[in-house]
Amino acid sequence: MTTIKLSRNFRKIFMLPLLLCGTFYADTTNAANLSGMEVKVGTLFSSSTRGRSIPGIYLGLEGSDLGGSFSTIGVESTLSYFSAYQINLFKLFHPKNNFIGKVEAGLGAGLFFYQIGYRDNLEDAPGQKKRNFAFGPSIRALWYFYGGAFVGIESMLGLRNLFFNIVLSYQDSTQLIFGIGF
Amino acid sequence: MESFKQLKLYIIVICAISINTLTVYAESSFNSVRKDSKVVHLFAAAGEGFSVGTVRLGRNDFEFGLYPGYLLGIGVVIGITNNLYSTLSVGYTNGDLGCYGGLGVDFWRLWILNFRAEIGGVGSLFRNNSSGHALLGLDLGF
Repeated sequence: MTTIKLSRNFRKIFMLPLLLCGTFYADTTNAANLSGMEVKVGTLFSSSTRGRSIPGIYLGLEGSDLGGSFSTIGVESTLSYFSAYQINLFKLFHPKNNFIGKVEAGLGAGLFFYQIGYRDNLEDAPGQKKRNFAFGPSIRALWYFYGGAFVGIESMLGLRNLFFNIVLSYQDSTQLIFGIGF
Repeated sequence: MESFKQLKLYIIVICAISINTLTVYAESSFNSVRKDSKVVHLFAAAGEGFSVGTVRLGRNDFEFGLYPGYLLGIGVVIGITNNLYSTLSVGYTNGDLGCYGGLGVDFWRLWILNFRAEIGGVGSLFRNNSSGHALLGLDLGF
């Protein structure tokens, strides 16, 4: 039973980004130009560990029109662990601003996945587990303050419950990112 | 239950297509109120649960006021096209230094006001009060 549940979840996880990529590529006016690839690496604080400034890992890969990012964050103790992963895909914009300089904006979609495991006593085998995911629109707003060094926000609003979404409430996953692009 | 799941999947598909078409729409549209205003513009929007999401007063490409996540700050609006923009701001949020980054679109202009939708996120440096927000409101320009 668990196997069936898992395979269903993973099917959703992999199908939805593929579906999104398809919609980007299907529109010829938005054909992705992947020339001049840029790699981004950095660290982040995520809303999945809200209240504690725990650094995570951020990786980005992008062309001039289309970009993606992967990030992960986690904590572990002798009694529990928490792991979160996020993938975002963006259509990118590179507007110029006379006051603050180079900015990178993006609009796309993201996928957030997390897993929690815990046990009541140290002697117990890790038994209790919970995993879930959220998918929804995401945005990027990065400011290049010195050369390739940037600071910015990536936020994904997960569509989990239709009623809550209508009243502008989402399962969000937001990241404050510090990184460098080269 | 299954049909509800299917409905959710349809909504996700529609959202994905909408995001793509939105960018095309925004690249070929009207001047926003913010661009045309001579003195100031005022942006007020609803946030989570239709509570007050943001109230910002701005002039040209600068805005200040209450951002989502109770961030009191000042920021810049960076025009991407006539009515698609990105915004970055810094300020004070829940006893911490925070910043806000967002992307929004102006639509349905009626004389001195237009509707505005924005997605953004707040991040804070020391206490990690990070949160994401969707805003829907009006931008009024004078």
